[in-house]
Amino acid sequence: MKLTPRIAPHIRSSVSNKTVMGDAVISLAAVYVIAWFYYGLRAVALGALSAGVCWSADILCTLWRGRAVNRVDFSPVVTGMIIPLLLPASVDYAVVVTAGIFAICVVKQAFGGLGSNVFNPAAGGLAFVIVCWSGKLFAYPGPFAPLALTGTATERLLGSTAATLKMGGVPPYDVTSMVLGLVPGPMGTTNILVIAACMLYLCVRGTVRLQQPLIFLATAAAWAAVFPRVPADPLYSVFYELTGTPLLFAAVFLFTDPVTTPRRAGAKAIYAFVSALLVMLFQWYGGYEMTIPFALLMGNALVPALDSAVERYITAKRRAKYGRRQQKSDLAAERAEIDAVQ
Amino acid sequence: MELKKKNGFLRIFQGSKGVLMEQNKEPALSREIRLLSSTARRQEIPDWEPVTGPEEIDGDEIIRVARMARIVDERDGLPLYKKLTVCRKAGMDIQVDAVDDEPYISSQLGPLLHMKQACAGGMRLAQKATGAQEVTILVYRNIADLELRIPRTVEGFQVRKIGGVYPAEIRPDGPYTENEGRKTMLIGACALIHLYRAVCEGILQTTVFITVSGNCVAGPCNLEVSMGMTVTDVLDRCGLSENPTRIVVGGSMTGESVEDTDQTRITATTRAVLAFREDERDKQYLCISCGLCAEACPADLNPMLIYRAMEMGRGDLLQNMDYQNCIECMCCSYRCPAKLNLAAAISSLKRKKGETS
Repeated sequence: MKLTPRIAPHIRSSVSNKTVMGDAVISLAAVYVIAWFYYGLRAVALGALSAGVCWSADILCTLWRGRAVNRVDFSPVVTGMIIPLLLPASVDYAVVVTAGIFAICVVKQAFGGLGSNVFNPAAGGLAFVIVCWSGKLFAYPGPFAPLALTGTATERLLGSTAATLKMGGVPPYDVTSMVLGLVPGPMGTTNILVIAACMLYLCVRGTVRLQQPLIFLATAAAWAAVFPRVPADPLYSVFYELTGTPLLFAAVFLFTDPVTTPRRAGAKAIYAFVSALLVMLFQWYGGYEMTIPFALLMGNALVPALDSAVERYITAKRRAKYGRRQQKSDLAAERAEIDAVQ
Repeated sequence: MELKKKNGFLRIFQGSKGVLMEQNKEPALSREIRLLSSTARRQEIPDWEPVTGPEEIDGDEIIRVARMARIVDERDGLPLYKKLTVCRKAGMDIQVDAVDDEPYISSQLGPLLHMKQACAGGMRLAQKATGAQEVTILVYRNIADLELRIPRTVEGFQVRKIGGVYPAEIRPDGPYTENEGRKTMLIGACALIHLYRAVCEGILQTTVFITVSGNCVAGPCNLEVSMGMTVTDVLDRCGLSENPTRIVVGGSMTGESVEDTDQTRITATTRAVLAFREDERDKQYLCISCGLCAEACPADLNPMLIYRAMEMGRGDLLQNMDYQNCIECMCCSYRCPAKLNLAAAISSLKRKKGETS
């Protein structure tokens, strides 16, 4: 039998770029199901449009750069699905399209495309539209509001729980409503139960390492307990911060992006801690109620420095432990000793 | 060297070193070992009268018989008599290698479990030949799919479970050459079976134990095969359920891919013949810088950085990346979600730099 020679290893992990992005798409789809239940078809249409725009923009930019298009690369779809989930369900379609195009063309492809982008594309796109349309983006329809599928939404819009917290107030909703997302807010970030289930799914699949969202959330919770924004018990402060702001969504879907997070486990842990501090500082002192994209962009900017510092530390530790070529020379010496026997 | 158990909390920061992988050793391991011989009779050692046990023979004589029987250790290809001589001179303990940490392979563990008496007999002979104070059997810790139970002792010899993640056999801090401060010699379980056969049955080593397995082998099993037989002969014996796209001689992680099965022969160091059919559409993607390769590397290298520096032709960066410490376990390529051939690239760099320096 004649065969083409292959390179070792001869077995591979079942995890591939396709499965990593596919898992993210599946879990984001679950969030969209709830968004559809609360806000109707407009939520799904926003997601589909955004994913389509990002996917098309990614292909066009890749072709423009003279690179081969990978049709099973779901990363632009993930970016496209994340963007509307951090916006009100009543947002104009033009805002979502702008965010998607900016995310892919400026934040991702301009830096070299998948794997080379320094900043999270979804965060970049969101930051851009928040700066451009800040007046329109922080008024939210309540759950089950009959939103029109097309055109501009005309329903009564409300302030989000994050805005209430920003002003130092206590959100006027009970625990169940906060956990189930029956409060005004970004269309994909309010249902805590579904997002927590997504986190578990991604962790069980190995797409996300549990320690990263856990360190992020624990740091944010500790900050909320020590510096409460609401005039209430620290525990309530922690509860409202974790459920009333998009912290959990960001912990699961934004700060775990494999491309823009550090490479080493130690650096990932430090990154999660520092990012949570940045998010809380932005929430406390930032000008907008939605500051997570800005905090994420700043966190991304720190990643190369973090990676470099941790890599230097690991190199020093490795050299102290093994030395250069020590293993090879030890084995060679042992083998030479055995070979010398007559 | 004994693997240090990492503190659970610290492990979060250090990541897992090595890969926990499905072992796929069944059903080959639980099946009886079959003989596939090119000759009807086994060749006997000339001028040697077999004895019944180690008490009837002295150490020098055991080493002489090992030499006459031409026994080769399957784990490193070294003649057994040379290893026994060094072991005796240095006063080393013996560790019996039945680790088989690569998936699909059980060509050391299988003979150990199915031929306990011969293996234990070989261990007693090796102990007498070298004067080793202690003989311990090493097996791999994490084999979840076994139908057989791995005993705590084999004929009085202690079985020690090592590792837990691949690679367990080769570590960046060297092989398991120390046991509580005492130097040890690693000897393959199959070589000890051949030693027992040589001393107690007067048989030359003309066969090797191999595993025949893979996702398109109809009857996976462990075979005792005559050296010199072709891979085609071996696969014919076990049958193929479908046409393989890849046939491997050696381990599923580190083995060599076969181009022509009629021309590839079984040697003293062949541990397995594996046949795989894989999805040809599973192509290479772009690196997403996820860091899984660095997390898997048991030598604490960052394969992604080395690969990128190579792609960019940055020899100046490579100097500080210690690529020479790569133990070629292939963990990085296994884990890479982009299916890049990171380990192969680093191995070729090592060879290239080794040749030029």
